[in-house]
Order: sequence, then structure tokens, then C-alpha cells
Amino acid sequence: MKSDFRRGGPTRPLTRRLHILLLFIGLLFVAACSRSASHRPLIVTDKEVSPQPVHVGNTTVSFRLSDAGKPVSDAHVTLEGDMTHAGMAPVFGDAQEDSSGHYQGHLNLNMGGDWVVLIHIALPDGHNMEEQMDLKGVKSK
Amino acid sequence: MSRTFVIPEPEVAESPPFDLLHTPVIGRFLRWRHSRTALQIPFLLIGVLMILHGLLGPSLAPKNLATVLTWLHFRGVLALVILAAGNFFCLACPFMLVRNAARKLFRPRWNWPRMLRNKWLSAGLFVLVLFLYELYDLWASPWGTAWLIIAYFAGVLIVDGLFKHAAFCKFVCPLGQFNFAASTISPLEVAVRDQEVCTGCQTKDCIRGQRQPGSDFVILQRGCELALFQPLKVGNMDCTFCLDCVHACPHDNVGILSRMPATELMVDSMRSGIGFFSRRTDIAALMLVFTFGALLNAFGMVSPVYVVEQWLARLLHVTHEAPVLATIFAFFLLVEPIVLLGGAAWITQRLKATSKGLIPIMVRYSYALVPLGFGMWLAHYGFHFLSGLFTIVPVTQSAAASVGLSLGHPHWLWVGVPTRFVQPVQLGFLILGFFGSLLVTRRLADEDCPEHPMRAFIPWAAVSLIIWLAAVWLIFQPMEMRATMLMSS
Repeated sequence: MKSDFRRGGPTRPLTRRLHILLLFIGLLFVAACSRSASHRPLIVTDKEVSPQPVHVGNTTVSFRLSDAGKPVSDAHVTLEGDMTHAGMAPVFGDAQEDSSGHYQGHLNLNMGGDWVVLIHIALPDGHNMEEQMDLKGVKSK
Repeated sequence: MSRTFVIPEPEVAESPPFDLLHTPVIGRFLRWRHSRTALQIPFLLIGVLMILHGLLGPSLAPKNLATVLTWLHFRGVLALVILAAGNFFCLACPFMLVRNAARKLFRPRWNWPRMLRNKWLSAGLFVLVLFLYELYDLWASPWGTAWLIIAYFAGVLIVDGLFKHAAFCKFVCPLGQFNFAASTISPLEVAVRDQEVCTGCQTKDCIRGQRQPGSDFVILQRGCELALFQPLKVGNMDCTFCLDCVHACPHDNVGILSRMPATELMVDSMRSGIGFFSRRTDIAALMLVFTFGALLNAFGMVSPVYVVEQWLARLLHVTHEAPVLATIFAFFLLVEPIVLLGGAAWITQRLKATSKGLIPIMVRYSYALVPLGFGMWLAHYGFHFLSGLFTIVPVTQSAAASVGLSLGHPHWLWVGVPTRFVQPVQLGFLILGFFGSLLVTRRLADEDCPEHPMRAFIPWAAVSLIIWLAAVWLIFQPMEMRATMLMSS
């Protein structure tokens, strides 16, 4: 028995609108991804986490911030810790400058597993940047 | 070719079951000829958004729609809807919308190969998806999740582009098999309202469909593409709730009826499109993958998996995760079921509860474990869904902001229900599943050994108890959302 699966009915106008909507969504994403980024040569180095090995509880995050080799002071730095799995509460903390261009802050990692630490940096001149650190295998106590 | 259908004698029901199609709003909507398309379109749009955000959005899983929607909300809502109602996600499946559109251009030419008309392939793919999920940490990878969705669309188009009927749904789709297995527990099923009407029916449109008069090529209304003939259909196995039979029946004799959950696991009658459960080792294997896969999937998220993986890596002298994971999978999906079910079947034989062989006993009672397996899936998916319930809000706000739409500043601290409230719910699902399995086991034991049902019941109740204890132990382990297991070995 031959068969095909054509089905009559008024679904075509909906399908046509769907194409337009999909195209619109695609264009929005392309537009969003083509925004130009700032190229100021800020560098985050000497990223450290302690204690090692990292386990659940209070964790210290430190790093050095420089611009063309010169230490960058007076930046406003916030720390954000996210688990790699969706659905877990992020943790936040502030980092303070403890010596020229060197910043240190704390995060309370509340669950074992893989974490990502985001360092949000805001400079006095309005320039912003974000640095990412992976903390794999944070131990449960 | 004429075929004779033997339709069972109508049963006299004490009171007519609840029929969802007779409810004012939902029933009216579902009876609408285009209700499926109307449900599929939003799901397709969400799917496209997930793909785009997964490929182009943030690489951090908690901030991406692909990972948040797939691994928190979709899985959780799917399991809860199956528990509370039925397989409505297959009804709204967006892959079928794309397939139907593609079939306007390409007509499938072949029938699905006879040797593949079983669940072995789909059970294998189910295992493969679980394996890839662990190996590539899909929960932590928006990019990987997006490609999984794309692969699904491609798979549907290739399989159903080449093969007639619903070959993908019935013989390939791993997600569909999960839904079929889980929906054996659902309180609703697509079923005939009055068997007498079917006895007098001459057209059998529910399976044949309706064609344009004078032309065999133009189908006005599909019949069941999964070869389920309504009067002989038992339960939800292989039913996608597509409602083609509802729309095709010229007598308006197919409804979405209430029933006692899991009853289809307690009977071994001839099922249209399936046969006897007791003779389907492939379906029994699928049910075991479903049940033990639930434990395996949860085990991958708790603290002891670190120790086990690193011990295995040392034992096998490997640093790559694949052989270690393969060993764990073999233990959970082969060794554990064979030992537990084989042992219980051997004891059942020794107690002379049945004259059946070991394999037929194992096949028969493997269906009794499905409620327990579903309880574990519910406990696992329910945890992620409830504990991350509100995360969709900031992720949507953030995604909207990235395309220039302002929905407010993302509230990243909106997470979900605190864990201390979720754990009792998880335990409740496990208890429900455990008692469901005991109930099915008891019914099967009553049938196998009416004189001494406890001889068959006790070994299989012990299997359920062991699995249940393992499940309870798992949900009380500290969660460790690990990705790379062997980095410190």
C-alpha cells in the first residue's frame, strides 16, 4: 500500500509566519554577536585560589591587574562563583586592592563539584572587563 | 488484502472513566484538528532559541537558555507531566513538526527494516545518550547541548525522510522510549470509549487513516503511524498521544481516559503493535535500561563517583574518562541487573513459584521495576527542576539584554526551592515508586503462583528493596556537580 503523509488544512499561513519569526530571531542574535568589543590591553595575571586543594567553604581569590605592564589601581572588583551545572545559586563577593595592582577577595563555595569564578572589573574611567577562572573538583568536606 | 480483527468482548464498567477530551477547555482544545501543531510551534520556537543561545550565547551553563531549559526545566516538567497526566510531550514534539514539513518535500520510500523493528536500537541509543551526557558533561556545555538538539532534528529528518510511518518515534528516539516507559505509570491513556462501537466499525480509520476519495496518495487524516490499533491497544507503550486516532475515528469513540496507573504492567495480554510483553525481551531490556539508568544517571552527580572513578582509573591504568565510564556503565546496566534479576529468577525457580525458564522470569518481572525506576528519575529531575525553578527568569533577562531587549536587570539570586524542602519530595517519589513496584510484583506473583504467591513475590520484592535502598542512599549523598573527573589522578 502506497502512502504519503500530506495533510490538508490551514497550517501553511502559520508556517510562513514561523519562517519570518525564525529569521528575525536569527538576525537579532547575529546583531548581538557582532557588537564591537573594547581592546584596551588590560591583563589579569597571577590568579590564585587558596586553600589548596579547594574545598567547600570560604575561599580566597587573588590576582594582579595590569595595563601595558603597569599595575592598575582603584578598580572596583566583584567576584561571582557559579557551578558548571545550571540551577545552583551563584555566590558573590567583593575583592579589595591589598597592594598596588594586586586584588584579593573571598567567596563562600557552598557545594562540592566544578565551579567557575567570574572576576568582574570596573575601572574608574568606566572601562569594564570580565575574567574567568575554572575551579574543578571542589571537594565536599 | 482483507484482514480480520478480533476485538475483545466489551467490558461492563462500573462507572465511565474520566475523559480529558470531554473537559470544557483542554478537551475542546485537544479535539481541535490543529491542536498538535499549535502546541508544536511554541516548542519549535523555544528549541530554535535554545540552539541559537547554545551556540552563540554565554558559554557558562547556568547563564545559557540551552542548558537551563534542557537540563532543568524540560526534564523536570516532562517527568512531572507524565506522572500527573500522560505522554503529552510527544504530542507537542517539535521534531515532528519539522518532519511533517519536510515530508511535504520528500516522500519516504522505504519501510523500516524488519530486523530493526524492535527496541534494541533505541535502548542502545538511550544508553549512548546517557554515556555522552556523562563523557562530555553536556549539562555544563551549552554548545554541546545545542548540538544535541541539532543532532535530534537531523536524526528525525534522515530517518523519517527515508522510512515510512513513524519509524523514528517507534524504533529510534531515545527520548520517546523514556516517555513510553515512564508513561506506563501515567493516569491517562488514549483508549476507546466503547468497545462495542469498534466491533461494529467497518472502516478502521483509527489505524488506516482517511484518504481522499479516488486517490490513495492524498491522506486527509492519518491513522496511527505507530501501528497501534485502538480496539486492541493496551496502555501507553508506543503511544505518542498524537491524537491522530482521535481525529480519524468516524464514531468519535477514542478518548483520553483515566485508568489506574501502572495497570498495563500488571497484565500480559496481546497488545496491538507490540505483542506480549512477556515475549519482548527487547522491551524488557529497555525497561531495565530505564530503571538502572536512573540510578546510574544520579550516581554521576554525587560525591562517591569521584572515588570510584579514580579507583577505576588506577586499576585500569588509564587517564581518559571514557574507559572508566564504560566500566561504570557496564556495572550498572549489565552486571547489576544480571546479578539481581538472575538471582531473583533463580530463587523463584527454586521455590517452584513458576515453571518458566530463567530468562522468561527475568523478562516478566523486569516490568515490575519500572515504577521504581520512574520514581528515581522523578527524584533526580525533580531535584534539579525545583531547586533551579526560577533560574529561567535571570537567564531569560540576560538573553533578552544580549539582543537589545530590556526585561530588567537579571536577578541571579533567583534560584528555586531550598534543598531542605526538595529532599522530602524526592523521598516521596521514591516511596511512591517502591510501592508501585511492589504492587505490580504482587499482581504478577498472584498470576504466576495463585496457591503460594509469596514464593514469587518475596525474591522480586527483595530486588525492589535493594534498588530502593540504593536510590535513597543516592539522594542523601552530597551533590558534586562534577565535570572532569580524572584531573587530579
